[in-house]
Formats: sequence, C-alpha cells, structure tokens
Amino acid sequence: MKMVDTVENQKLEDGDRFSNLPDSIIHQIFSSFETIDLIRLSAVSRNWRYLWISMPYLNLDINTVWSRPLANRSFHTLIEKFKDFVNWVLMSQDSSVDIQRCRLFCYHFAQDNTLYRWINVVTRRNVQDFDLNLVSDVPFELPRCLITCESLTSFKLCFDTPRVVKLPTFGGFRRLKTLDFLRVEFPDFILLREFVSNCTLLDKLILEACIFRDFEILDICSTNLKILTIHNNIEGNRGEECDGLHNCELKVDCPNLVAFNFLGPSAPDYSLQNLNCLKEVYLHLDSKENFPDVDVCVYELGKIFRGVCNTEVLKLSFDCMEFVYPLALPNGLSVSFCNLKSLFLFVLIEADHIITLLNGSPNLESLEIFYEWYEEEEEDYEYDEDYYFWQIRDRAIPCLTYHLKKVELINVLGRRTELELVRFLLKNGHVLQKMIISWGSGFKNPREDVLMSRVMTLPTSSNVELTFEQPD
Amino acid sequence: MSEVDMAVIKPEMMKSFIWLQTADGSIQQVEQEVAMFCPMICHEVIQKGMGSSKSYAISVPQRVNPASLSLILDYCRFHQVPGRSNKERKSFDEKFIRMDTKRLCELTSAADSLQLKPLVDLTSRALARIIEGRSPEEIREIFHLPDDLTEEEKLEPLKNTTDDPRIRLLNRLYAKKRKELKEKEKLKIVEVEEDRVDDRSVDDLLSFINGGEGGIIGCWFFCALLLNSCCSIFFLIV
Repeated sequence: MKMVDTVENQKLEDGDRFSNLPDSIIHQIFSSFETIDLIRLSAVSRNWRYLWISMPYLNLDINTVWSRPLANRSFHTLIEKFKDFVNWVLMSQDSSVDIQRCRLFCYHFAQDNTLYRWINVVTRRNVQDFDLNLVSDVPFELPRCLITCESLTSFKLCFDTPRVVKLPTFGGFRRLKTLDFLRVEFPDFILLREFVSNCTLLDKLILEACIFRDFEILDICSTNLKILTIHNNIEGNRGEECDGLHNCELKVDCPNLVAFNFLGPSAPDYSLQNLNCLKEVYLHLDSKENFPDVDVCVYELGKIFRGVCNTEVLKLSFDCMEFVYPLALPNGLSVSFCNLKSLFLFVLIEADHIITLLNGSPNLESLEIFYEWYEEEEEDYEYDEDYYFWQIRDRAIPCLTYHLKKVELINVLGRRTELELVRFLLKNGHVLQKMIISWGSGFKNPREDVLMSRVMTLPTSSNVELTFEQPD
Repeated sequence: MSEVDMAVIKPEMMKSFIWLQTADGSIQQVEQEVAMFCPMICHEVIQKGMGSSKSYAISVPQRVNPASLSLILDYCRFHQVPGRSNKERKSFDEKFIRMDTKRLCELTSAADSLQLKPLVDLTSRALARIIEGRSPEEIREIFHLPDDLTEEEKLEPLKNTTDDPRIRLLNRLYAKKRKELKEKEKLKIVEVEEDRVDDRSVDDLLSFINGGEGGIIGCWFFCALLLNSCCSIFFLIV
C-alpha cells in the first residue's frame, strides 16, 4: 500500500479534500466563474491565491466586474476602467497557459484598437473556444490573427443590435468546427458563401437573427457541415423582430448535413439539395404578412418538405395557420417521408393535418404532440365542444397498421378534439405499445378524471400500455 | 473453475463479474456491465485481460476509496440501463449528489481517476454551485481550508486590478503614442490607415517597462524609428 506523504496526510486530517483535486478538475469547477470572482477568491487561502493566474478559462464581462457599474462613474470612465482590468488580467496571467475558452463582453468603438489587441493576445495563447459579445457602433472586421488561428475550434460573435461584420476575402477559419453569429449583418452574399465554404472543417453553423441585406439568395455550401441552424424567431433587444429570409431564397448544398433547424419567417423559395444524410429536422415557420397568400404558403412548405423528406426525425411548428390548413386537405402533402421514424408536432386545436402527416410517413414509429393553447381558451372551454368537434374517419393508415409503437400527447386539456385523436389512434393503431397522456400545468379546470375514465373505455386494437402523467 | 474462493454460480443467473481491489487491500466482485461503465475498468478488462478472477483483480486507483467506489458503482448501476428516459436520469442525478462536501470532493477525485466523465461533470457542477456567491470566509469553513494569508495579501489582487503601476505606465505610453500619431498626421507623414497589431511578447513589454537595455525612453525612440520606416501604426501589446 502506498504511503501518503505528510503534507497530504495533514490536509486529510484537517478535512481539506478540495486541494487534492487534480488541476484539470479544479479548472473545470471554476470554468464558468467570472474571472473577477476568481480574483476575489484568491483571498480564501494560500492554495487559492494564484488559481486565477493559471486558469485556462477567461470570463471577462464589463457588466459583472463591478456590482454597480455606473454608480460614481461616468460611462467613459467605466470603459477605461474595464480596459485597465482586462489589460491587467492578460498581463498577469501565466502566458504559457493555453486558453481553453475565453468569453469577452465589451464595448467597441471606432478608432479604438483595444479589442484587436486583446484578440491578438488571446489567439497567441492558443484559444480554442472564443465567445465574443460586443456592443458596437461601427462595423466589425474579423482580424487576420483570428482567422488564421490554428487552435480555434469554436467561435461565437454576437451583438446587441445587428451590426455589419466584414468577412475576409482571403479565406475562412482553418480549424474551426463551430461558428455562431448572432445579430450579424452580412452585406455580401457571395462573400458569405465563399467564407463558409472555405471553413473546411466546419461542422456546425448557427445564424441567429442575422440580417442578409439585399441578398437574393442565402447560399450555404459546405462539404463537412453537419448541423445548420437558421434561427430568426428571436426578438431583438429593442423589441424589433427579425426579418429573416422572407425576401431571400435559401439554398443549402451540404452532402453531410445531419441536422437542419429553420425557425422564423418562411423564405420565398428553397433549394435544399443533396441532403442525403439528413437525420433531424426542426421547422418553425411563420410569415411576415398579416394575411399571407395560402398558395404561397403551400408552395414554400412543399419546397422545404421536398428538400428534407429523407429525414428520420421531424419536429414541426407553425405560427401561421395558412401553412396548416392546406395540409388538412386530401392531397395536402406533396411528399412522402419514407425514412421518418419520429414526428413531433406542436398543435393548436385543428388537427386534421396530423392525419395527413401520418399518412405521408409510412414507417413512423413514434408520434409526439404538444398542444399549444391560449389563456382565453380556458374560459371558452365549455363552448369548445360544439365549435371544434370533429370526427376522424376510421381508416387504415400504413404507419398505424404496421409501425407506430409509441404515442405521447403533452399538455392535454381534456378537449373533445384531443379525445377524438386518442380514440382514432387506439382504434387504428394495431402495433401500438405505449401511449402517454400528460396534463397541461396551470390549467384551472382539470377534466383529468373525466378524460381518463373516457379513455379507459375506448376500444383498442393492440396491447397498448396507457399512462397518464402529471405536469412537472 | 476449481478455485475455492470463487462464488458459487447459480445456473439461472449466469452473470459475469469483475473483481476489483481497492487501495486498502479489500477485494470485491461487481457485475460486469456495471463495472464496465467505467472507461478505466473497461480498458483494464479489454486491453489487459484483468479482472476475471480474484487473483487477477483490477487494482482500482489510489484516489478511489471504498466509500467513493460504492457510490460510483451505484451511479453506474443506474445509468448503464439503456431504457431510461432523460427525465429519470436527471432526477436520479439530482438526488445522487446530495452529500456532504468532503464526500463530494472525494467522489469527484475518484470519478476522475476512473475516467467516468459524466460523473466528473455532475460533481464539478455541484461543487461550483456550492462555491459560487459565497464569501472567502464561508468557503474556508465549508472546505476546511486554512486561513493562511495576511490581510494585506488578501486585499492585494483587487487593489491591483485597476491600480497596478504597470497599467498606469501602459496607459501613459498609449497616451503618448496617440499624441505622437496626431502630430504625425498633422505633418502628413503617415500614409497607411490600416492598424497593424504587434507580435511582441509579454516578456518584451515587461522587460522594457522595468527598464531593460537603453531604458524606457531609449527603447521608445528606437521603436519610433522602426515605425517610421514601416509607415504603420505601432501598438503595444500587453
């Protein structure tokens, strides 16, 4: 048996188990702490005194360094003091320690090169993950040292309000795997396309609330890209809504794409090619128009469905009923989701489109429906029964007959339409193994007992296990 | 199969067991699928063929005391079952880490030496939550750390964050540079607008701030000359 040395023995007797933890663990524990807090913690004990100096994680946020930043200070002084603080941290830290992750939240003004100096230091310390959050009144140019940084594998750039970012003309990030832009304005679509294509190792691209000024087409073409997220369903800091792609066609040519997430106003046209590896798709479609043209919605939905029809998992949500109504018609779905195994739907009351989608997914094994309802509906509950009652004609649907094993209904109110869907699935689902019904939380008028007793009396065509769950 | 100390195997439960030995010498059997959930044990079994009998028991790393091992095996026993939902796993984890800080630290260390990353992540997050927002005094109490710094040493870093003499000097140098630049612009010597960033190391900066060869003014002058010939703006790097 190994003899533990006396110093460690002393620590163990004192009850100190923390100091014996390996450095990598200590770094991991403190990795999310603001650097200023780590500096404060240097007053704890001699062991902790120089912790922050060799921390490979930097979290420098102008908003958190002082508890009341603008008390007794002008805005200008605050900026200068923060610069001093960051300079001091960068100067005092052990420069031989590589930075694993740096999060920097600061202000950037015209004629001020402080930010570029900091980026230079950070890149020379082999930063891997760089999260830059800027409040800026000028366009931002991605510096060369950052683009050519050999260690950088993840970069996130965000602004508080959309700002122009000047992309380099000489190529993309060499080793970058994850790229995330939030509220960035891109002036030139060709430059963006070239830039993304030149990030040859890029795995994951996220474009959130970005502005594609005067783009005719947003063209994402990347051989290695596995995850693409275009998220325009974000409210800006000043309450503005993001325009997204509602004026611009979306073209995606990524043969290795595995996951595609598209949220926000629908684009006028889609060209989604070669998405042969696609496994997961999340679509949340909206329209910028108050009364969108149904034919336009049908066209757009058809194009996007055609592009993603190979997927195994599909999550669908619509903020605009003009996408949903046409799906409820007999030939509403123009494609077949042959590989689809799991379908998640966010649904309001109307649910005819659920049957259409089931019909178009012959190999579906799992169905999950999340009911969205508005506050007002609770009061109208009693009238609900008459207005929205619909019956689903019993018929054989391929996935119900052969494949659908699991159904989950979440946020259920106990309405007649929900009961009718349950009845239909139980009657026509011949291989159904599990059905879970979860009640909506915050519902004032629970009809759980009524619904439960009704469901238990329904005829089933399989040996299905019924579970009722309370909200979390 | 004739070793006396091997457990009698009932025909209806033909489970495989892995033999583990902790640092205190005691040896125990663990169900194979549970033990193999730990990468380090998995490696010992597959790469080195260890663990199949009492005499070939896998020596568990020293940082894994019997109490921690028992906890780790409970964790593995739950999580290695494939059918569990995310909700169930999260719920288990939340209850699992409720223990005193001493034990939590030991568990973190043990999980790390067995390379069980999910458990390391869980315990690290728990320790971070315990530490954050607490005063140095409270932290010393919780973790039994000695109060071995002088009052001055305790106050030093925060005082330095904006009052370090090096920072004051740096700011003076920047101010001086900006002034020189303005003057040059007036004389229309500088042509290029583009900012170039400097590659000098921290050591260089510190050495000339601390009065290296030629002193500060000397170095500055030399650098200014170098600048003019390059016709680009020279900024110091921290």
